[in-house]
Amino acid sequence: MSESGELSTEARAFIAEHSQTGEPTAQELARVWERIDGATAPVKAARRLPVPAEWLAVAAVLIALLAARGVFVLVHDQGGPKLRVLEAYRAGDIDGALQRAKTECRGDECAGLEAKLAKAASLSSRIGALTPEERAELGALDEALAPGGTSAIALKLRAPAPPPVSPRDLDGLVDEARELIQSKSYDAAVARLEQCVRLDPGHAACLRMLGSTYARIASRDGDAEKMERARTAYQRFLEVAPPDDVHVPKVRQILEAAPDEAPAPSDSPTPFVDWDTTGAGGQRSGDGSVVVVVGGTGVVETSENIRRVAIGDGSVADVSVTGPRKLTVTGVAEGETTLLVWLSSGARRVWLVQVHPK
Amino acid sequence: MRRQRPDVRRLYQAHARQVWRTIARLGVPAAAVEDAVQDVFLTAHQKAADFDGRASPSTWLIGIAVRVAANVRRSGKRRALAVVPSSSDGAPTPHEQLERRRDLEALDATLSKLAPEQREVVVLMDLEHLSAPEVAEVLGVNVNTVYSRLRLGRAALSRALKGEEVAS
Repeated sequence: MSESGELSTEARAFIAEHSQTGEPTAQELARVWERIDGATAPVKAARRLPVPAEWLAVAAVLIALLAARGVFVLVHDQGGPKLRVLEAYRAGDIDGALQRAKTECRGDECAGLEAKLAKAASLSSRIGALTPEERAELGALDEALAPGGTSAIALKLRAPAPPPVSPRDLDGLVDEARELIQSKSYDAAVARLEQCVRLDPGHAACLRMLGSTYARIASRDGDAEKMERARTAYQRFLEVAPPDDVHVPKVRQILEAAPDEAPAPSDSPTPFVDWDTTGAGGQRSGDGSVVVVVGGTGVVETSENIRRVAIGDGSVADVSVTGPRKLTVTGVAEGETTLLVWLSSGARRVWLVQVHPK
Repeated sequence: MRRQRPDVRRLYQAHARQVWRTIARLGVPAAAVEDAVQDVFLTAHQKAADFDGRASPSTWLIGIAVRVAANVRRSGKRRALAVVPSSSDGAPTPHEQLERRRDLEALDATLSKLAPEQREVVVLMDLEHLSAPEVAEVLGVNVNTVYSRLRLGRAALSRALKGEEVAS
């Protein structure tokens, strides 16, 4: 229950107007990082060297003596790179094993190891959702990499198969995620959607919503890693969605339009986000206002190139720049919000966006 | 399982912009924002061992930012340490700098009419889009208090924008 009071129209416009205020430049960020890095470096160095320097000197002399007698070399060779890779695999650190195989293990003894580990990593990442054939394939790989069935993967394979997931469970997660998105609890929504994708890696709606929600978080936090996750989820959605899925063209459009590097929030306040349209057409009702239905889109054109856009309430409508002088507004939920557009000349235009029920 | 300590470089890369905006919007003078952002990440670095992972790193950092901003406001720090960039590459033009400064002053002029605790909630929820439970975690208050402050803060903001007197 919310007892937070509604924002007045003036307050909404004020907040939309200041959605980017206080944003730092890349140069300011770099300047402060230099100072932080300079201030933390000695502390980090002290942590790396918790013993007095004299002890280190003594240790260095001892190591030199051991190396001179061949002991160091002997110890170094005893494990061997392949053994270290397989030990990591047996312990369940498949990514670490794969990394070691790529960087440390180059000899004949390691031939084919990297490919086996990569396949095992791929299969084990969705171990709860493997087909019987895939489980058998993973079992064979595991036996080749860690004979005797003592690896972490072997233990997981021997565990009883998880109960089949009912579509109702997944629908429940989707519903919960949708409610959390509407209340802007994006991190909690991501947890539900990740769970949904773990249970059913081919669930198109979960993947699409996951992409949209990661994009919202990335936009909110300026987090490049989250933007990459958004991209991955959208790409996976395109792989699994049926060709006639109404969202496919929009998601494809997003991925084609978005640059490879995740944009900073200041460059694009609502990039990449929420394309939950059903194709219902929007209608522009004259200067100053845009009317769309929930799930529909409307187009706004400006007389000059667009420099920056902001939408007052992202839970009511989303906006994306679809051309130098063109914006697309998508209705998310019934209500009203304000769209602000800064033009290349420095002028600012305001539209009232009204989202009506279908 | 042992929780991994947050690494200050990663934290900075992922959250510096949000921390910066929050600091700037919480009434820290423009000349002191850089110092305050630096303080936030140095505090995070020093207290990394205390991070228990209950909150997200973002919420944890915003909690530190709110406390640093409050300290700056209380102490009335006006350390004008803004450094003139040595290179103009990628730097905003003087016109853009002026525009940014004016935007921030306009924001501050209105938000400064709100009581500090109401301003914090309005900034975190309406401008930074944190959820009420996240704001409760950041401020160390319960969710009902957050909603109550938000209601009062929004009402005060509306009155301030209409040019009415705001009782704090």
